[in-house]
Amino acid sequence: MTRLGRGGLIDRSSVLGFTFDDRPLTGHPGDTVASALLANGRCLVARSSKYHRPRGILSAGLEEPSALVTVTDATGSTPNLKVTEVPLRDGLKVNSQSAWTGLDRDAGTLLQLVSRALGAGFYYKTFIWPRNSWHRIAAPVIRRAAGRGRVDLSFDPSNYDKRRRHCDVLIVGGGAAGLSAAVTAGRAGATTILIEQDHVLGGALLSSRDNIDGLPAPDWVEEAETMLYALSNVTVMPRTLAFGHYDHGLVYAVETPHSDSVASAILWKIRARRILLAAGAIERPVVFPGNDRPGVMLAGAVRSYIRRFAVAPGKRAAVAVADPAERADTAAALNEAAIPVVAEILPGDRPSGTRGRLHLQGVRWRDATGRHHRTSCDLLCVSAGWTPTAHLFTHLGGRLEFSAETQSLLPSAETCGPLRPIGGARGVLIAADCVDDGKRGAHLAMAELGIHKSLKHGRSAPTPATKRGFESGRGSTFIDLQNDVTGADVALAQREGYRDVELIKRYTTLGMGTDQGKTSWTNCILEIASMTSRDPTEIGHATQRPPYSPVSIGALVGTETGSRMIPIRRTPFHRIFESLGCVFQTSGDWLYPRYFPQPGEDMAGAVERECAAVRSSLGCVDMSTLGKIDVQGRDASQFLSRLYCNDVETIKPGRLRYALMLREDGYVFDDGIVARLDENHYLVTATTANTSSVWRHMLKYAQVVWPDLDVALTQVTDHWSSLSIAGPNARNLLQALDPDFCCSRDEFPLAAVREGRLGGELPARVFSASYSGELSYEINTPSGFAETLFDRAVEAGAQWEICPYGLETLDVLRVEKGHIAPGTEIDGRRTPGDLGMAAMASTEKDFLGRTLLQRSALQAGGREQLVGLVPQDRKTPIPGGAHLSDQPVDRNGCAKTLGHLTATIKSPSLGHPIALAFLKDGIARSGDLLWAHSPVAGKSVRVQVTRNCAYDPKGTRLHV
Amino acid sequence: MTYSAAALLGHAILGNKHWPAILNTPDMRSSYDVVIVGGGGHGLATAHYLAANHGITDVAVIEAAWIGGGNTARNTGIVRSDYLLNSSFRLKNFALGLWNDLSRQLNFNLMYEPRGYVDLAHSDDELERFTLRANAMRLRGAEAEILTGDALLARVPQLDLTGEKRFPVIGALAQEAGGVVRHDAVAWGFARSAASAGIHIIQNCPVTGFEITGGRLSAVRTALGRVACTRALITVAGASTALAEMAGLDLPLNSINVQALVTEPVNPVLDAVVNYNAGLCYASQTSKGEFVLGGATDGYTSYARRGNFGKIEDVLARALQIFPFLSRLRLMRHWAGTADITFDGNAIVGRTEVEGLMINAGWGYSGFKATPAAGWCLAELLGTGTLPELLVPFSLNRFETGSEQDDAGAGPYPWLH
Repeated sequence: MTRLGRGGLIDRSSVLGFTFDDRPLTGHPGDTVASALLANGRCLVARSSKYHRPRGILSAGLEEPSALVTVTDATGSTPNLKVTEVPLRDGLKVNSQSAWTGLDRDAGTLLQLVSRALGAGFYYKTFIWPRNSWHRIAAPVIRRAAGRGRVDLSFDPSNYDKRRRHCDVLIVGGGAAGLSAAVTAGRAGATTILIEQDHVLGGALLSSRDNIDGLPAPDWVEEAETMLYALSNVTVMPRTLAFGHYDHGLVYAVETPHSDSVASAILWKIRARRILLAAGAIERPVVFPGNDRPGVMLAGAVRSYIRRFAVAPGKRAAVAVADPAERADTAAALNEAAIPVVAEILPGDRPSGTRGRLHLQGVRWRDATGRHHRTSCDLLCVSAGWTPTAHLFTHLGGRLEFSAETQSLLPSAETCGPLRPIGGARGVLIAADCVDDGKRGAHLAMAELGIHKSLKHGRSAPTPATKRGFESGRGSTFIDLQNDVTGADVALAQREGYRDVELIKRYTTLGMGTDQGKTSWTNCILEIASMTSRDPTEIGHATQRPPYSPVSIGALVGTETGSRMIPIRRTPFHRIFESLGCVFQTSGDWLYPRYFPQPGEDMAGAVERECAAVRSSLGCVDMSTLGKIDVQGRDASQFLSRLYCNDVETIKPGRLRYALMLREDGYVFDDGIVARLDENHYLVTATTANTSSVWRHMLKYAQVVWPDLDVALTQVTDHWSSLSIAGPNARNLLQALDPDFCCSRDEFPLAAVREGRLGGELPARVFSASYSGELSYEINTPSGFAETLFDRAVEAGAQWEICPYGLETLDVLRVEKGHIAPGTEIDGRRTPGDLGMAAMASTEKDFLGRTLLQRSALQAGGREQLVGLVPQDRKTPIPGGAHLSDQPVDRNGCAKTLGHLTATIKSPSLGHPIALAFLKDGIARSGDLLWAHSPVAGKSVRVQVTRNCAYDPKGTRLHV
Repeated sequence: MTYSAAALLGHAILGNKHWPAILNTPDMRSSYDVVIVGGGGHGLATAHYLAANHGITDVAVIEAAWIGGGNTARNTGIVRSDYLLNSSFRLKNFALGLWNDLSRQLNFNLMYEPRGYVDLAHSDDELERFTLRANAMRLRGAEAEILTGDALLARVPQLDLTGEKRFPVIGALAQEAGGVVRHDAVAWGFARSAASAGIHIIQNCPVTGFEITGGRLSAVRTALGRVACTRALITVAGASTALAEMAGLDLPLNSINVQALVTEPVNPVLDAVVNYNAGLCYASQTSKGEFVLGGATDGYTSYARRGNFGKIEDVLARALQIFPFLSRLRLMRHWAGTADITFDGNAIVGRTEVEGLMINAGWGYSGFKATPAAGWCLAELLGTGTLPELLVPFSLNRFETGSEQDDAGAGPYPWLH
């Protein structure tokens, strides 16, 4: 055990058990998996991805490149977690990844023998010959080797949620700058949110021995925290990772609540007027041969493990820290833990290698005078400097610039939208300066928001860094530890012409791992600079993309899983249809009645029976999903006249007309009825599928294009339920529902609308319009009365054996009539002429789409036209999705086609199969014999071209 | 320098010190036979085929930033040819044929993996429309299958079709020749081949204007100076409207964000490319183990190259409908590209009213799969002066005549395509 006897922010009174690779270990509340592993003397926790080199724990935070593990708890397992980001919980099972047979003996290390042949982008240069050798031979092997950890395919029982907050000032990061900013903003009365990714506040202060405002740093943190929790206008959100900064002050964050919470993770969308980015800075490793060995650890992490977690990460330490103050502090921390410092490697020295098989055993270097040194040690504390954590600054396009002063990438401006970096995120590293910078940042933000007057406040300067860094000896130096990218790889990319940093990133995969190169990017830039003798400021940096650190997909989806993904729209008749045993179908947003089977009946049987009922007596169908748009105003007629291609202005009050709407490009958009309720009052319908696009189209023209027209639009689709009664007895039923309702043919002809109260009380609008080809009335009643309407219709219709029917029968009836439907005939590529409706496009008036409809290709001969088909033998079903040809398929199964089917049914009314199709010059081919080919069905059927209306072409049944 | 396993070993022994550059940094000359504006996949492919098929090497590819850094770097690498309209099918199927042997042709492993493309249908009606598409492909000589029930599960065993789903999966269209290609490698492979033929690839050089005299192109102006030429091609995807405007052309297209994302890498689970159609979400797993997902456009015009996170949530929700295990993985990176989408959703390729100036634009977010075919045909147009038959349907003047190529039937609303 390497747990120190005292100190640290852990709760020694409680013991948590966990396992690592099945070995039982213990830790304490306050530990991360990383500190608990180290406390158990376990440093080797992973193997690298490419060469399977042994890897330990480099850091104590989210920047960790190496120590990735799979963590299993009661909800299942999660791969690729960084040991440094997982707070220890009782019962966790932690397993190493990508090692066979084990971490100590990994067969993959053999790859190191050929590592030179596996340099950057080696896979682009081989597996080229023979053709498809990559796909057939190499890729399967590489795919198996790639990837880290296994995804748990079992059901995920976790709960996830999404929530929102808003505030004046959002502070990202609870270290010195963030706490000070939060206290300042909170005290001044701004609604303030402080987000901290760690489960405790304090950041680097937790392992600092500095005094702030006369208090030891951890005490100062406690005081600030107490104050924040006392302020009702401040919300503190620990364990929450702000991962992305989006337009208009929106920050996305994922909270991983305590294990006793109902939710495993919560996505927060926080809208802030000002964002203070106080995410601190990330320490930069030293690049030298053998720098990836377990036991090499960032100096800040060493201090954190000793002081915060009370763990001794080694027994004999060497120190290679660039900054003198940090070097002294690190030595002091090691001293506190009674770890002897056996060597100090100084800037200007040239570390040339490490030794040890699975853990560091020694380090050697040459000093500035050329003398060689070596020492044995099991811990090497490294730090080449600090890189501001300015990721959220760059997400909205903020640029970083390399500063010679700080030897790091700094935000190039003080602001990016509402976001201002403070403290470490802008290179201020001294605790007291950070506190000042936090105050200043908060004051500035509040002055901008008008919460208080602008105060004069000096600005802390970024902390300068020593320009003299460590040199590197010759050998394999690892820059990106996660993707095993070496200095040689970066050099190779340069040599091969991948010179832009973005190309280097893609060619070498540097920074493309799950750590997104947090510890490697600055080193890469300095490496390129020294290789090419360029100034680091010229090199630029690759785009940093959200999320800052990987976030749970479960949380990003929240509760929108399974059938809850998108709300289901049900019609007002749904409940009653359910009781009738209706089979429903998902159709866009809607759940729609598909058919109403009798016991023991299949769909085909039900549809045949439903069709027969409509054709012979009476049926009723739910039309509530049809879009209903109420159009009112002095210019309502004019407005609709411009929207529809046929004449609608001459519709008299109380009458309705079938109407066709074109898009601007002259193609058919939608069809429906236009009913004139009053002089300046219309109700128009849109097809279910197109309702939202027709609505958007109308709004656009009413509001944007013709704002001068006096017209008011209301979508009333949900307000009115609609039950269509159809069949020879439809008028009898209407009469039975209300003997006083004028429904004789003269009083209520085809294409008319009547408003009134059915039975003297049920408010209704009745439209005499037919889709089925039978006498038909669409009865609309306010949605709340839907069930009453249905009950009365069924009761009164019993004498005619009224039969509820669904979408399937509706479709069969319309195909028999040759009526068009969206998605099949209205497919966005047809002119009115193609659909046999050329005459509908008015030549008298102007309308939307008229000009472009005149274009040559829309008027030329040889277009596909809507036709009907019957099998030559009047028996063989015509396969769905077939294409038409005047020749049989050739030996290769190919044929030149002349068109294709849009719908095919076995017509119950006609007793044989029919189909609708688009056929080149279809009208002229009437009577021709063609082939309908469906290679998928393995069928070719001889078909004869007919008119598209197969049933009652003269429409006599409507005029009874 | 030929790439091979032997070369890898040989160079490894020599310490990898002698690998030649795939492209150099040439000094731009004051004139070229052909100038290609845009060093993305399409531009570089055009350069390659100009040299390979037509022996024309006095060519400059002028790129504003770095090669392959636009939509070539941002797409999800999917290739397929499952189109109903003959024009779209033929061009993309021609490309699919080229992808098949392109690694060998370029001596650069593009990692073409025909792992199969599986397009899911959510209702019987939709499946019938997919059957229509599959039949069209079969009758034109391509392979396509309709899979339902157990056959679909056998093809993509990872699909979860159990439990309550918002949109049921009824079946699928599968094209086995479809799959993925390593997108960056496409730019590099074409660039290397073109550069080795002597073509100049000039990076970090924005084009600032076109000189047009008497309706004919005479020069291209760039940040590094004027380049005289009588033939040029604009092939700049998201920047198409801006570049075309410099030549006085008003293109019927909008630039719209399209986003994509990857998860952390895990061991291989999913082989095929799967497309969920109820709201659109396409998913595949890379050779590195990351799941790559994308969806429809953000729905509004923007050049920002950053999207609205709501779209990411939306795409992930749909992905979880078929692959619920993804909830256990983590989002690693997300990004956006600027898709140039026309008023019929299909590309504009061919001549413009300026003599000598060609355009290749409007590929939206389906341009990657067509890369070699576009390059092949454009090289023919630039090299021989004749418009290849495959490109005829994609001419700019189709919007005048109305012979539009609207695969989706979504009409003159670019954000809907």
